[in-house]
Parts: sequence; structure tokens; C-alpha cells
Amino acid sequence: MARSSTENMITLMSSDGEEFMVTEKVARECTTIRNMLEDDCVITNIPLPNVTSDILSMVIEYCMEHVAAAEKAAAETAEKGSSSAPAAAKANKDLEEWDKAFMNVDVYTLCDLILAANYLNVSGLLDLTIQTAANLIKGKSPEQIRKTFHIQNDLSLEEEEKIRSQTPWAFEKSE
Amino acid sequence: MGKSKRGKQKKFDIVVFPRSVLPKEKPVSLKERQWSELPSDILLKIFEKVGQINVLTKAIRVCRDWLEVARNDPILWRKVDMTYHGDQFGPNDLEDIACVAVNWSAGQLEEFSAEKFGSGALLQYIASRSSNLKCIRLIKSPVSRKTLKKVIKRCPLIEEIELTGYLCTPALCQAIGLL
Repeated sequence: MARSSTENMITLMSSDGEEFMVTEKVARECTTIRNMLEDDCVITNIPLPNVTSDILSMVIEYCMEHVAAAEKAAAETAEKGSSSAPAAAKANKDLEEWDKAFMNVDVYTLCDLILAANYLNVSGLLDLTIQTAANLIKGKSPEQIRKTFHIQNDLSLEEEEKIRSQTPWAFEKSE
Repeated sequence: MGKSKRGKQKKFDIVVFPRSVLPKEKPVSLKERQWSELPSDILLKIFEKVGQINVLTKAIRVCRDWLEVARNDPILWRKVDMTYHGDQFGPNDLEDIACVAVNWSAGQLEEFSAEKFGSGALLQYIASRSSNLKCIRLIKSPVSRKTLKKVIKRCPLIEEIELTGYLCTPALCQAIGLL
């Protein structure tokens, strides 16, 4: 990692004023930042008013892990001429495991991560967080979904009745 | 200020506290609103992964925002995939679910996939409301070749018909225009 010191460093500033120094390569994982850097290549300090420090540090952690994994794979390919299939499969699996552990967060953090991944346009993280949210919804009743995500039922009795008449199957079978 | 009308009161909705006054944690009410107030484009992405049957049987009953997003965004219903339903619902229920999906697609349905259900009446209902239909995939659906012929006639944009679990007879091929 000695060469990282010679790389361009970018400072990302969270909404609550905390500064994070990252390599340009890591920052470029965020398409929103990549576009900023391409528009203005001397920019070194980027304020991110929509992301708090705790969430930004997680986004950076995700980007660093994925950049490191890509670099490792590239280095192995360069060393051996071609990457061996089993090694690549293992690296993929390791990264998947890492992603899975990374998604071990409460639903509020998950929501903030989705919004940050969407705003910063980190496609891998957006897919991961959206899939995690979808998995939390699948197989649950409406009441269980509300409980999981701490959502208040704001449908009026009339509205519920209307849904019930339009979609009777949803009631008879699932409860 | 008690006397002022509602319209005027709005001015005072925004109150700025110094940072030190604010609680460290977000207030609970704000957090509770978080998931019900996701931007609709994000909620749509989640609904796509949840699957349409789950959306129509569970998610739309969670809260008003979720219902509105599912009901008012035809993009979600452009490709309706009702395979892999795990026999959770009977064919009649699946037909009803498909009808709502077709209605909510607001004429923008492009792909329809069904497994072990799909009567002639349903297929004709879909065809009558989906002039943009491009692809039909049927796995072991009780559809006659007569119906298929009618659907093809009704939907000029159809370019793909995938049938699984059918006997590939000359009459069937003729009906779907292969012969």
C-alpha cells in the first residue's frame, strides 16, 4: 500500500462537517463524484451535504473493500498471465461474504445507505442495499413488514376496505 | 399568533435551533417516517426485486405511500412475471392478481409470463388492454391455440411467444404463425 501515498487524495466532507481523505480511485467508485472529477480535474475537496458522517464512512468502507478486491484480482491476473478460475471464484465468494456481513445493519441505517448509494450513485452498493430491503419484505405479511421497517399504517378504514374489495385474494390467503 | 389564519401561520413552521440544542439521535417520528417516505424511484426498485405477486398481495397494504407508488407507476407493471409463485395461490386468485397488474400497467404492458394458470379469458383480457404487448411466456397454462391466435391478431407488436409444457403440433405452430 506504499504507492497509495503518491496517489491523488480527495477530501469528502459529510453534512455534519467531518472530513474523509480517500484516494481518487476509491472516490471514483461513486459515479456522482467521478463525474465531478471529470468536469473539474483539480477539485480536491467535495462537500456532500446529503450524507452524514456515519453513513459516509460506511460508503467509503464499501468502496475501499471493492477497490481492493478489484486490485487484487488485477494483480493476480498480471502475475500469472491469466487469473485461475478457482482463485477468482474464491475471491468473488469472499467479497460476497463481506457484502453479506456489511449488510448486517438496522433498518434505519439500511435506509440511509440506500439514499446515500442512490445520491452518490454507487451502483454495486445500491443493488446490494435494495436487494437486502427486498429480502426483508419477501414472505412477510403487511403487519410484519410494518413492524420490520417501523412504518405506521396510515391507510384509512375506507382505503383498506377499497383494497380489500379490489384485491380480495390478498386477504383470504395470506392471513 | 393564535388569531392569524392558517395560511399566514406557515411562515413560522421553520424554527432554527442552535446545533447544541438538537438531540443527538433523530427524533423517533422522523425515523418512523423514513421507510414510508422513500423517494418513489427507490421504492420502485425495491418493489421490482420483491416481485409483483408479493407487491400486489402484501406491500400495497403496508401504508398509503407504498400503495400509491405501486398503483400509480405503470413502469412497475411493464413486465409482469407471474412464474415462480410457489403454488401459494390458486389459479383463480392468480388470474385476479394478473388482472390488477394489467389494469395498473395502464396499457403499457410489454411482457407477460404465467405459470400453471392463464385461461383463455385472461389472455384475451390482457390482449384487449395491452396494445404494446411484445412477449408472452406461458408455462403449462391452459390456453388453447385458438386463444393464442386471437391474442396474436389483437397485439400487432408481439415478437416473442414462449410456450413450455405444450405439445408442439403442426396445428399449434400454424396458430402462432410458425407454419
